Amino acid sequence: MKRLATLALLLGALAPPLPAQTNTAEMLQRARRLYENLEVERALVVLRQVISPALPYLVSPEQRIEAYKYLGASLALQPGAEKRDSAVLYFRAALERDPFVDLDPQSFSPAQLSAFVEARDRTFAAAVRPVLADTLVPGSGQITFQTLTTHRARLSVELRSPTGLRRVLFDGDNDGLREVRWDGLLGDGSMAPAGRYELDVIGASKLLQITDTVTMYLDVTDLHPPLEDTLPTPGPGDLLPEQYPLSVATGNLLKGLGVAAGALLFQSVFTNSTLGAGSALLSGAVAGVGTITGVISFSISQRHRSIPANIGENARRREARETDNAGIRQRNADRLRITRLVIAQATGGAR
Amino acid sequence: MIRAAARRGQPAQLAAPARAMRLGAVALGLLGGLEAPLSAQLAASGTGLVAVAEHRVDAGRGVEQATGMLFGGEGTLFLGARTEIFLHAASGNLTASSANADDRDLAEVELRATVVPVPWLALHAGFSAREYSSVMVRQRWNALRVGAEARLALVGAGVTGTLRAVVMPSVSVSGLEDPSRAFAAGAGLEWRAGVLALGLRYELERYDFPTAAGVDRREQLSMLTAHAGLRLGGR
Repeated sequence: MKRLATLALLLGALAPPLPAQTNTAEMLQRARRLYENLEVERALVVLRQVISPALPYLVSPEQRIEAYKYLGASLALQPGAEKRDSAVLYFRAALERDPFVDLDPQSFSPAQLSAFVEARDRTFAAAVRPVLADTLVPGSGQITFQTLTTHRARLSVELRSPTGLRRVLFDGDNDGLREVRWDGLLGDGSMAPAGRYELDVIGASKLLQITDTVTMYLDVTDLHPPLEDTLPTPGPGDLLPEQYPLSVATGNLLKGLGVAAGALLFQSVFTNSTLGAGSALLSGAVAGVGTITGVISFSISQRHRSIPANIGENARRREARETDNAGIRQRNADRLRITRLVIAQATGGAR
Repeated sequence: MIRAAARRGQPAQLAAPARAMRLGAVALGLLGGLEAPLSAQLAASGTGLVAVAEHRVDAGRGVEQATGMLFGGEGTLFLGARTEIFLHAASGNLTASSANADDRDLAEVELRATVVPVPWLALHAGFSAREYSSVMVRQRWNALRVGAEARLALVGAGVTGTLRAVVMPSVSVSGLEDPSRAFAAGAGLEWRAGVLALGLRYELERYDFPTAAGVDRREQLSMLTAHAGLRLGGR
């Protein structure tokens, strides 16, 4: 027998946990059916089993919240202050786990609703409902965030861009559910750039000295045709020199002297010795003028080093670049105007 | 000099000028063919010139020297950036400045084609005809000219200095044997301001003749030329 018992324990330990969706769901379904048939005591038994740590089945958070809700509702139907207090406690347990829990006034009695309201008044939480991925046109489209405070509170909903820019989507008194809309623009009116955004929901209770904050991260991506790069600022290699180097002045002097030397050389060396050197007056005139021109060129080149033609050409190139960039910026702006923002909740999202 | 040549009674060598002209034409054709036909960038310049010329001759009787002024004009047709056609014509009177010389008139014309492979270098070939005439005699010189010119830009492109060297592989002189050696060199400057162009250049031509009857004939023409004119067109 001992061996059989040990084997049974081992098998029990090795066996996989039973799926929550089947047995727990069946138990909840049975409890709801009993509750609806006003067999409240039997429903309470089943519901207590669901929230019991001894339950051999997995219980999802949603199932646990459902169990707390129906426990509260069942107890609220029973007479006695203690039962009502217990009902409030279970409702609070549900609200603490999911502030969006609510009772449908069409399906629950005033006593149950009263107990639930008391539970909400004694429990404070701010929350934002997870969002599904959505696409919007910045400025004209909207995405809606469902926020909530469990009771009367000061609510602030802020969106913070990756660059730290903030946009307050709502700031005011609130009680219960509030839908907050965002049009895809930042506080300065510009389109929200792509990146990870932070949605902060801050609630300050007006009944309790409690402040609750919940943050949801959003991934924003933009959909638009590819943008063109503007032309870079021209570097030294892209522009013509606007000044002559100092060597140009020396070169001009040497060229003038070269012409002078050439005239004298041809007149004295290239001539036939029998005929004698050519007229020094003729060559000397060119030599003199060449020398003077070289000296003047040297002086002018030193004092006026700027090159007007190159300066003009560089200005033309800069202007052409500016014109091209203006065109590129205009085309990019046109493309950005048809941008769509894709907004999706990032992993690690909201409470 | 001219009188001496005429006295010798040598017949004019008609074949040599014709050959030189043919060679010149071939050279021009070659230079002109280096660049494709041009429909754009056509420009032209036209200038008037005044020159001081000095002619020296040694024909075995001492150096004869004559100087004088020449007047004329020049024109250049620019076919694009790399090809030029140049025409020069001048004439004037040279006055004898030595005891054994005669006064004479000088008239000359030159046509040359130029290619500019790089902005600072021009290669040219052409033909020149020159005539000395006095009361007694008329002498005709024809020459084929091939040369190179360095163009030195000063102060941007406003001033250009030039150094030029020319060889004359074929020269014919009426009444004389062809020179055994003939060359020319020159240096000059040209200033441009808008369409105005001014220039000053010095040129020297030297001709060495083969020894004939124990005489080594030498001739030399040097010239200082000032020119002024207009340059119109895209260049």
